[in-house]
Amino acid sequence: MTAEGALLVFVLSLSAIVFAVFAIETRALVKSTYWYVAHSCCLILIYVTYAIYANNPYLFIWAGLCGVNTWILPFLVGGLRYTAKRIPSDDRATRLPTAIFAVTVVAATIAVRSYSRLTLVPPGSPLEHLDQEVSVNLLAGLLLFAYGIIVLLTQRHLFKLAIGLLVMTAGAHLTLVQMAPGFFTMVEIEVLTKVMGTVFAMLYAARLLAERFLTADASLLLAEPGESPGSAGGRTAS
Amino acid sequence: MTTETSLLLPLIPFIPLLAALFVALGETDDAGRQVAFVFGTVPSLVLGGLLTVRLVTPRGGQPLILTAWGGFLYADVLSALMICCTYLVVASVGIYSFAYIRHDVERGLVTESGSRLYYFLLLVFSAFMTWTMIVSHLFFMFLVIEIATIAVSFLVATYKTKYALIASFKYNLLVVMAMLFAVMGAVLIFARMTTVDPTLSRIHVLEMGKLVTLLPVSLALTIVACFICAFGTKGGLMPFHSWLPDAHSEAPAPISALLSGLVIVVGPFGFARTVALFSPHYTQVVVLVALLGCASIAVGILMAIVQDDLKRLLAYSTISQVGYVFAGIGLGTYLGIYGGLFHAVTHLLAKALLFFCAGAIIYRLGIRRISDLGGLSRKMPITAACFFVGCLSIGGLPFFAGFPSKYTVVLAFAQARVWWAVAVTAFAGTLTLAALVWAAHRVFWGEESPRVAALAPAAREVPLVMMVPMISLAAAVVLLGVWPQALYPVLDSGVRSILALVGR
Repeated sequence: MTAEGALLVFVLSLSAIVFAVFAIETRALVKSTYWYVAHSCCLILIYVTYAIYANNPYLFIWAGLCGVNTWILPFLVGGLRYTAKRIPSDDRATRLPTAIFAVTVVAATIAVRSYSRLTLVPPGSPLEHLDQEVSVNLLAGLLLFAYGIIVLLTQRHLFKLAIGLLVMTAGAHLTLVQMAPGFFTMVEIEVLTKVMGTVFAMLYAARLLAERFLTADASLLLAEPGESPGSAGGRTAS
Repeated sequence: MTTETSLLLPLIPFIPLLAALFVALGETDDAGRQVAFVFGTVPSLVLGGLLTVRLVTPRGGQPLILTAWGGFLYADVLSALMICCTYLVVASVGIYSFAYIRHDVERGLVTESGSRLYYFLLLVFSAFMTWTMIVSHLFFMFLVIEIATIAVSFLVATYKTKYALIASFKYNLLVVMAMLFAVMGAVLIFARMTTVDPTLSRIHVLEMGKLVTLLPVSLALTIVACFICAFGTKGGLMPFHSWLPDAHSEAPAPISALLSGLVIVVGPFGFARTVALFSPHYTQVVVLVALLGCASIAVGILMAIVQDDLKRLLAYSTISQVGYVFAGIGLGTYLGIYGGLFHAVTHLLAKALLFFCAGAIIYRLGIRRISDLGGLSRKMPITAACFFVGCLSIGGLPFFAGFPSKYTVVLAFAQARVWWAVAVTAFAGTLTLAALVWAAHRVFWGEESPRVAALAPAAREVPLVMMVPMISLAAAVVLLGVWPQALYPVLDSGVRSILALVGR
């Protein structure tokens, strides 16, 4: 990987992180979907850049699959946009995930800088001399992964949780590309499964809940009176 | 290790998949679905049994590995044992569900199409569980675990109540999140290994043992932490257990049995394939896993004691019991892995039995609060006896399956000189016995509650089709309690095949 390619990947990684933050922070869910699309487009470009600069044609397959996901997930029936139009928006949005993420970014950068050096293109394998040099792109991938975890731990809106999971997945795959670009087999299938299966299942549950209880906020759902926990299948509620 | 090619191996997961297709696409009524289910699970159970017999290693012999599709599929005796357990539990759950889900359809809790989806998902789950056990590619293993997770999450949401949907969402989210940690662990291993062998293109599960010794300590511990997060969440280990009580209490009773008996077993299975390989080389791993296991054992049972919901009590007891399994396997010694695997099997049988009994009460009375129950033994004597057998086994009383398995784990702790863990397990074991026997007493032998008295005409034994799985599991629990050697050849071969991976 040349310095030019690494710089391009770095800019795209930063853009992917910023768009992920917008996707989580935007209250209107349809707009949030479009920010997610922008985030996914950055990922496609990252894979293409890697494919070209690291001379790894398999990453074109990754980019292609990511492109398919970028179309299927937001725009297919039952996907993000479909769900966003059918569930109430995130009225109780907090800035907590982003605030924690900002602190994480600063702390991670300081920690890395105090133990080793941040470089654009590390010589050799990214894992070989971690105590001496760390690639900024590896750090960006790990931070995207961390942002996904923070969102999953702090958000209560079911739609945002689904996006948080996708961001975490993107972080894992970005890290994978940085560390082991030859490790392509099966990962693309895993990406598709996550999109096709897990996220669609989660969005389906969110829609069902929103239809019946007029909210997709887990804290509001749990606070609402009505059914009691454990009433499923029983003759009586309590 | 000796390797042989097997034509049988790829066949096992395809049988339930074919049955699932028949259930989904065929114009079947209830009877048709039931026949398809039996044909989808019983032949696979038989094939799993044949595979186990073939793979059991003679004493002093080399462990045998069966492979197919150019090494993409493989089975050692541990895989074969897990396949048998999978189809045993799925077949029991399915047969039990014939009456249970029909009853729910009649009560309007489940629609006719919901019933069709139920059997379809159960078959799909069993097929992908089998893939989990036999696939050699680490990433593909994570993939099939995720597909099985999706099937289970839909099964948890069968009743589509608010809490069932939230529990399903939570389960799906947490397990997939956990699997991402497993992916990160695999990525770290692969990234390191490509520096040693640049031509490497995948991680074979059987090669993991050779790789672990080549990793620097800090990286190895990071990888172990990723795998503990991943398989700990899947297995319901503290502190990654938050999905477990909700999913168990909101799912239909047969699915709770499936969750507690089988779904969580993927966690220990993944643990045996990954973390157990690190334990012999890194003492920190042993201490960490023993700590997490003992925390799970103690906190799980303390939480169980305060529950008034019968299914939640059993769910928290699962968190406690799974601690024994994880801690045993995590020790990485012969005795530890043996005890862990043995306890996974005995717990699977006893906990499925207990959930079936809880389901029998819900089926007849619709009540699950312990404080609303009492005096049922006169009306449901067989259910009461089965429940008591399950309680005594989970409580670790001699002559029941839980005793030899728990005792082996405790012995493994003593052998490894982790004395504080011996003390914790002894204390928690006593509490477990007390909590479950006390619950059994209140539900079946206490004074008849006004609610049970009001529902007196309904309080009678469940239909035979529900009774058969209960009695069979109870018999298995007693049989393994009095004759624990029955599983020795299989478990011994399984442990030796794991230890062979780390060159022991």
